[in-house]
Amino acid sequence: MWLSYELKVVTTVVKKELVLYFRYPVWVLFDALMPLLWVLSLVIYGMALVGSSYSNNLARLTNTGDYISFTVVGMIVSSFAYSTLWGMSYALRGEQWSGTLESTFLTPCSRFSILLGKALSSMLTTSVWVIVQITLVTLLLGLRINFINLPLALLFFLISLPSFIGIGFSLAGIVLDFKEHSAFVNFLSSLLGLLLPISYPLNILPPFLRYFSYALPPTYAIEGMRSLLVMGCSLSELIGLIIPLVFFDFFWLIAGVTIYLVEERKVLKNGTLGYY
Amino acid sequence: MNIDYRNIIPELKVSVSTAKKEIMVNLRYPLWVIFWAIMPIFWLAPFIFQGHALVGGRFSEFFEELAGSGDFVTFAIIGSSLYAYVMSALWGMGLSLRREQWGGTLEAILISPCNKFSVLFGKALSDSILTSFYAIVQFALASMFFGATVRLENIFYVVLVVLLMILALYGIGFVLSGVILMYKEPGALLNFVDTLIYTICPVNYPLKALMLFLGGAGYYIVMVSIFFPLTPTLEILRTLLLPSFKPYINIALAASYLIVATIVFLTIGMLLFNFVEKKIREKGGIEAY
Repeated sequence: MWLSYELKVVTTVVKKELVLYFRYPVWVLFDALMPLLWVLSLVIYGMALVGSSYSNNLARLTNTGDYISFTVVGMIVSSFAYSTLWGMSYALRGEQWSGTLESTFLTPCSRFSILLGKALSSMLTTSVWVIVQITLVTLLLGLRINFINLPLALLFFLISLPSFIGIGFSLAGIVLDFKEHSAFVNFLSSLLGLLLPISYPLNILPPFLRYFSYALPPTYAIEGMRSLLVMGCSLSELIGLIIPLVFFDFFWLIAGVTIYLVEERKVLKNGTLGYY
Repeated sequence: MNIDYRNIIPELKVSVSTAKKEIMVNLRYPLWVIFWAIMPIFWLAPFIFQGHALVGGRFSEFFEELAGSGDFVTFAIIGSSLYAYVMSALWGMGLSLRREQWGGTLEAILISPCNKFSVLFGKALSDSILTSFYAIVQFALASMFFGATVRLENIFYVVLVVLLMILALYGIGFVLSGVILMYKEPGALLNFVDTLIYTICPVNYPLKALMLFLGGAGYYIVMVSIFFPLTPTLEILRTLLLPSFKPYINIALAASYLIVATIVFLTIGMLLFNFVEKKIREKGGIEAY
């Protein structure tokens, strides 16, 4: 009974967020097209360096020289990480801007159902744009991915999802307390752009940066999805990536819920929930 | 444009006071100053690491065929340092009056007994000072981390060309400022223009790479790219700084175009801003949020 009620809350929040999202068609267009321009600039850059869509050095480092597929898969997985980062940090801040945060908090439902609804709506729109982008990149740039492994890749993505949501919970809590999120989230996005193996393998990074990369769940998600979709590996070969991901799932879900609850309690105690 | 030349000294004072005020406001947010000085390194680094992954070093033979210099690291460092000025024109100048609107001070500024272009030039001046600081820090840090080989004997000409580009970008900033004042919400527009410029201008790769990749369509994209002041400036600067760089455009032609573009963009920017301001006053939308 309780669960079905909370699930209804989640679906209602998803619906509401989607209605809001499509009210700004220019932003919708931006979300649909911009990642293509980012891919394009990386591909043209690669072309300028090696003269074709194949790099011998990348093949030596990663078993695939096809840097277009390598980069596109990296960008697709990282777009979910960015979507969590921006979506969840903005989740409650947006309610604060609209003046609806207090009424949302007063409703007799779990805050996590609301947060989950916001995270899922953001992932849903990202998924739609990812499908559009894969189609366009396949048509325009000749993306070569192993479509047979697509269900396994989705399964792998589902394994990584709880860690993304956990990180999102913690961000929502931090922003609830510190209010202004853009500098913080901009900094984190830029840091992720450097640390995640989106357009290069991890062994290119200086060793001290590599340790930070290994601490990030999206690193394992990118490596795993790439192994399945570009290198044609099987799921059993990726056990070395699945174990840390499952660990991060538990760790980030517990840490995310705890951080959120601590921050929320602090804000309620200080009476700064409505502060702008 | 109602510029009263008898008041040139008081108007200059307005520009300097505006610039001072803007710098003070910026320095009140030291985290943002640090962010803008350091973060571009984080945007540049992935390109350099990608380059290393693809060619296994900092020199590429194919890049050398296209650009005359195979040192793609120095090439990208010059491009990204100069790109700071484009970001400043878009996000600084473009949003300058919108920020006054957010702060509720736009009406007070527009009814003050001074020329509004003195205020706009003041804002542009402060942006240029801050951006030059960011660009120098970026260049120094990037050179320290990744290594850059440049010819410093031409630095005087480099400063001259950058000054010309800044003036041309002011003009584009005025246009954007007016458009944003009219249409209010600028996020998507600015993000789009920013990404488009970054893709079609030779920030990280030479112009010839666009044609190589896009074929016939690439030629037209290169023509559009050359129209934007950043492209001729980058071609001149790389010729001055990067040993053995082969520009795609004739350098004398690029410099002449830059001078003409500065005059044209500034004139169009001022005329368009005047037109938009008049329209908004007629519609009564200045205070509309």
